[in-house]
Amino acid sequence: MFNPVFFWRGWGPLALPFAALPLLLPLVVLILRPDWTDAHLGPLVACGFALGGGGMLWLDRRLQRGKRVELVDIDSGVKQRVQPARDSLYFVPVAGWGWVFLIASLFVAALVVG
Amino acid sequence: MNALRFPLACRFILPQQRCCNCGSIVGRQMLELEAPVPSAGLPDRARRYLVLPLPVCASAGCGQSLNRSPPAWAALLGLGALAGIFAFLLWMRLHSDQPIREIGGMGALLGAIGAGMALGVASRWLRRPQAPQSSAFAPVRIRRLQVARDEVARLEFDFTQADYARDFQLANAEAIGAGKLVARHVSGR
Repeated sequence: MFNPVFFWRGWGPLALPFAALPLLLPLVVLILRPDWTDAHLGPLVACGFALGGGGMLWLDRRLQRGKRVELVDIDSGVKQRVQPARDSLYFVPVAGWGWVFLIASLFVAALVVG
Repeated sequence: MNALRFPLACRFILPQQRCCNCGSIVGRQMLELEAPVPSAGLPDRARRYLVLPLPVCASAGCGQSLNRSPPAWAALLGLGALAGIFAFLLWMRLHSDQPIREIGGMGALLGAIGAGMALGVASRWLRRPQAPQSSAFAPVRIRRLQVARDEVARLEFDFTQADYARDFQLANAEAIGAGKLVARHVSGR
């Protein structure tokens, strides 16, 4: 299930760069383009959330893929790959944060447009 | 986490005479297709994939498309809409200091969302099979797998290549006759 301490467990730290994107993206762009005003900040934060969320979902897929185990049915010889369910011992709740970031990006976008 | 068992009635033979995507009988090699099993009816919530050794011709297109899953329409539309929203936001802030109502209002925003969704749909349409390929995506898919007590009770395959589907039906006539195995020819799009 959803685990808020994912950053400190297993492969969670890999998600940190994506989590920092809403902060880093506006920072880097404003350093590179000092003439931009705070009017640009909202869209950049929204984009940072969207990119960070998308990145976390991508990372989660990669991590879950790495958990696949190959099993063989002895009688038929059919090979199967099984990816454990998310609430098993291997759970890395990066995907939950990915969705939170994507929804946050929509909220920020709505604030910018509104 | 156990391997699903295939009782005698549910075992299947994958024909090896022709490429499973274009049907060519020249220059075949065996490659593994990792076919996702639909999760409905499975005993646990783990994701399962059957590894199917399939004959593929030497053409690059058939080999590359073997493990390519068709993207879901909902995902393409959703991603397209998101891209439209953010492209509009960036454009609005970078090229105009005016508020949204003075640069086209909600109509412009909805137009951008619509354009993004259209691009998402077009991206799927652009990935068409190159003749004589039957599909730009995985040519063999599992439509349904019914399980009873960790044993496969019925298995349904979709094939995009008509001749390969016919070969499969001939090779597995007994299991298909018993209703344990189903093989359909479907469109590759």
